[in-house]
Amino acid sequence: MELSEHLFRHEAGRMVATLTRIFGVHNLNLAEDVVQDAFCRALEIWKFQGAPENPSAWLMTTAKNRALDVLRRERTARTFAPELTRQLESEWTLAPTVEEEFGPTAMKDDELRMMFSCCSPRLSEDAQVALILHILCGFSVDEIASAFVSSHASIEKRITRSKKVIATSKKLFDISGAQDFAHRLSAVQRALYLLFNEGSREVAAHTLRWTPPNH
Amino acid sequence: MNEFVFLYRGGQAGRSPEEAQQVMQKWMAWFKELAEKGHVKDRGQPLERSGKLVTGKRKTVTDGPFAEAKDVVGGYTLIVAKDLNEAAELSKGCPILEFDGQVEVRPVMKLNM
Repeated sequence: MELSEHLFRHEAGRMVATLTRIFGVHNLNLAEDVVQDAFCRALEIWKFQGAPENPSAWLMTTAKNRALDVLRRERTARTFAPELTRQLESEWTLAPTVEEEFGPTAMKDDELRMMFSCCSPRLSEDAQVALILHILCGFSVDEIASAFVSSHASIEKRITRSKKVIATSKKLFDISGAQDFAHRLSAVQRALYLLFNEGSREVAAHTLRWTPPNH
Repeated sequence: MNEFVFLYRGGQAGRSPEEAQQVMQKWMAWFKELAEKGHVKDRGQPLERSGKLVTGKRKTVTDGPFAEAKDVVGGYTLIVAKDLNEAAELSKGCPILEFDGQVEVRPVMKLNM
């Protein structure tokens, strides 16, 4: 089974966005750890046994199961997404809720929501774009550094700082609310424009399957 | 023809998704090449990085197998080759070598009746 080009990169953004939706934006790091873990497992297992029939579904199932483990194990130690607290607390609703969040429509919303969240007015334009490239496009620090013609250290610092800023938000950006939408929309569009412009045309087309709404 | 075991050690660095995919595709290409030349008896299995180590007469059980991640065997493959030299030569194509990993090449002992 041949893997489609940039499959991991494409799936990384979707998975982080959905896991952040479930865990809450303050647990962004945890979401990234779960994704990293899913890729490690895929790498270890697929290299010996070959890729499965449906690699995306395999990755989603792995991330979903790992998320359920984390949610069960750390239920008392951590708080998760405030919007989902009640559903995640009860064993009756936990699995169905996570299942629903991993559904195709919910995942698309999650990506969009994450993108708007990255375009926080508390971050500079460069930081917003770097964060989108990192979180939603699965770019490594080195890859972003070369896109920005910058050093590894300074990009790493910028991303770490930006993540901290995002993680202190009370919750993810509400894409259904009108508040601040227009302001962030222009930032999102600018980020998308830069993505295309910075020679990442191919990657952006693969990873960001979203067309900005006509406004 | 003789049989050899490749033991893969270390080589597990943190990577971006894109890099992880590239590493995997290298592994797949390497296995494919070996298989096409008839060198793969069994592609083998990946091993979990954690386990237990049971030691000595007192049968002490500790978390293991190794403290150092670079020493942990991450999987094995059963290879068919002419001799040890050829087996070692084949192992040189393993992508793990690009990531500070090692391949241990061990002949499977033969029963000469």
